[in-house]
Amino acid sequence: MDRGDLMGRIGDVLASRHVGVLATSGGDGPHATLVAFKASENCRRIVFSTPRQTRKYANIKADPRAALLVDDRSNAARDIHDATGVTAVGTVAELSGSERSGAEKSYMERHPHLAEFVLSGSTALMELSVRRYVVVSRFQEVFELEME
Amino acid sequence: MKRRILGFEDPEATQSALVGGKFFALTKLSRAGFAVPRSICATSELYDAFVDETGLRVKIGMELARKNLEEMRWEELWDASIRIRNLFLKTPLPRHMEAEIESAVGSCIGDVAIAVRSSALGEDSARTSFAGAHESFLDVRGTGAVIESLRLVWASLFSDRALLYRKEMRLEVAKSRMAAVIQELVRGKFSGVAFSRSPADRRKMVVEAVRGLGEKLVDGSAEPDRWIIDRKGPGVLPRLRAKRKPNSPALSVQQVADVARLVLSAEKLFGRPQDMEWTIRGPAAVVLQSRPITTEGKKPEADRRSFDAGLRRSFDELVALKSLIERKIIPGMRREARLLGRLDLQGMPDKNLSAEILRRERALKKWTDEYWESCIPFGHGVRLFGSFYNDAVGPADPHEFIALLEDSSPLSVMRNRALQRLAGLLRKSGSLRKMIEAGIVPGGTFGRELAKTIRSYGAILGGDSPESRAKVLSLLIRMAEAPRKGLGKRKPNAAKMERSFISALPKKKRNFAKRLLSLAKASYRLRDDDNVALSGIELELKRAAEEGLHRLAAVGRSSRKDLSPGEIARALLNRRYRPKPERRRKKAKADSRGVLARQLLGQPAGRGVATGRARIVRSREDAFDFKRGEVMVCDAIGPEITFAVPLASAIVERRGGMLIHGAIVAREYGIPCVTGIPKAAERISDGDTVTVDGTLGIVTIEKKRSPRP
Repeated sequence: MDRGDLMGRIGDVLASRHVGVLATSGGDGPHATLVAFKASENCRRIVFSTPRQTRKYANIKADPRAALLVDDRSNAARDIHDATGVTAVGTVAELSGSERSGAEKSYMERHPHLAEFVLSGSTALMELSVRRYVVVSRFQEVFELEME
Repeated sequence: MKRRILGFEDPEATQSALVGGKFFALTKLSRAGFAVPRSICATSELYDAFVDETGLRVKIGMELARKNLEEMRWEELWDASIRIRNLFLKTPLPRHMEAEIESAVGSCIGDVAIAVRSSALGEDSARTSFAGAHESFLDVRGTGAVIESLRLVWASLFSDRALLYRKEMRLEVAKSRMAAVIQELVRGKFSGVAFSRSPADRRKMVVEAVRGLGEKLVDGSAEPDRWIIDRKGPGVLPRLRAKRKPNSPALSVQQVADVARLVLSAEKLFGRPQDMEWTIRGPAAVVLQSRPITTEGKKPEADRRSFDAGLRRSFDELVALKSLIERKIIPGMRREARLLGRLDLQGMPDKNLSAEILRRERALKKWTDEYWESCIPFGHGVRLFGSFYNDAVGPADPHEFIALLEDSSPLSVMRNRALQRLAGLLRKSGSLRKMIEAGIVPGGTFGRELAKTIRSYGAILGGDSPESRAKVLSLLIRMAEAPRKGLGKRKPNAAKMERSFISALPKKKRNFAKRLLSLAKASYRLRDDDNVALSGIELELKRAAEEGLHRLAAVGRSSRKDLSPGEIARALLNRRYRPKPERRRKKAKADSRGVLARQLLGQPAGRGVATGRARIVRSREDAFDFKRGEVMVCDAIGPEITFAVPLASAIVERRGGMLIHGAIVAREYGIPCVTGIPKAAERISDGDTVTVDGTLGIVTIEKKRSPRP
């Protein structure tokens, strides 16, 4: 599996899904939640949105390390050998200013039904800078890809 | 719900996606008034229901997901196939399905001898031909046996040949489904095949016949009578030409004409040339099956062998190979190596040494060709027995049969045992160890045993030079440090297993089983011994080439070590020639920046789990450096490397299969082993901490580049 193959598979899975599972940690321990995301072309950055009152937001403010799991399962028994799971691991920062307005546009293109939510003053746009991908397929085959 | 078992009268019986090509054709023939055997179809719906209700579909998917089909060697396909076949053997039909089959067989066919034949979707159609890849079972009696045969017919959807075929055709395995025909076995007086258009001449047709069941014709065990007939003409008065065998042709002129008419009518019915199997019972011919001729011009007979017939024929071919290998090839290789070993290379003038190197290169090529031609195919004996054993016993572990073969030890295993004995002597005697560490070669019992071991196994230990002797001694010291765990492990009692296997068989099968087992033992033993014998010749070529290199270096003409024997020979002959190293073909280097294999999937080839530091072993020299407890990681292990296996905590190999050399030796020592890991020696680095799960076939690379102490 060379870098190109692995990047291709990661890109395919990220492009095929709208929602992934975000894992953060905080005072209450680990926390997992669904988020609607949009990955950049080169898969180095992944943008998602969250209200600022949420536990994930509080967790990220306290500890920016996070992981996002995206997979192409079809909720059938064969997923066990057929599905590919992609975990992006890195750190999250809240976007503001021009960075936010740029990201906002492409995020809303991907998730037009979330426009109102995103544009409301209480919603933060967050960006995961990916340090490493972990790709699991064929039931137990695991490859890691360092992005830095 | 769609009907899962159908008869000719059912409206769905002409949906070929449901009933497969064979039953589709029989239905059309029956409805058009042709005589066909009483038959029912176990549809692809029944297959789907079986694999879904029992969870088998997911298990098959997991088995095949280990590796891309395209990347699998034939041996790995066979291993996957045998594991899947065992899944089918071990998974009973849900009770309600058994009842469905029982009632359909009872009402449509009755209590008679039965044939269960594959009717795969796409099989027997003009476009794809799975011919021979799927199995059929004849003379099956009783519902229990019919159901068992049905499961085996289903399993043959994943036979090695079927997998290979799909691999070549790039067909998706996971979507494969299978229907089967369950029919009365018609025992005609004469049987045969007929082609409405001759593969050799479009204006002619062909009828072939033998006495009794047509299987004899199909498996090649009986020479048929053959008639070539003009397609046009009055049809009733064909021009007949009996080939050979002047005494008593199988069919009368009238009967040949009847069969010819039959196959022409079938061609008319289906609208294309037909290849038909028929039998004559009573006054008229019964059509057993009819299908479009797949490739015109291709010899058709080899296509429809039943499993038993195929087994029998392979067996006879393998018996002939065994004798060739045991009597000619291996003794020939050994004689060659012995003769070459006697020559005094140091005393030869350059010119003679040059000629000698070339002669040895030719000898190696000749024997390598023999090896590929005969020794490699002979490995099939083990597989043949494996299939037979699993069908008869239905063991939980599909590779259980290997235990029956292991009392017939290959040379490399016996060499390893001899090394263990020597290490045992060292372990008991501190003074012996001290002598060796001081550079003295001990005499006495140890000295005699050592000399004997090197004499017997020199070819796979690196020869009998002082340097290689020193390496063996240093290896023995490491082996003596502590006894290997698991070495005393009780092995299954092969003799007892063999007795219970044979006595559980029906009487008429026992004799064949014994002969097959004996053949498989030879196949198991020789698959290694032939390597060893061949490496004796390799070693002799190397010895001569090294002498040449030494001479070139001594006069300052080349200090390179990577010269080919041919270059060395040329330089020895011509003082002005400057030898060039072999130009390696540049491979496009894969971009692996930042890619880390964390967990890899391979074939489980030796049970157990172990963790250790990885050492990549590429040569005999690497193997001599091997340290106790390390994990041996190889591209392809040969007998010249595995003497270090007793020191290893586990084995990982790129080449896949249960029966490759590394796996055989790993099981001998009870060491976990995973094979078939693509690019194993590139993805794992020296010093990585590696966990090898030989039961599941998973290798976990826990830490990259841990510093060596």
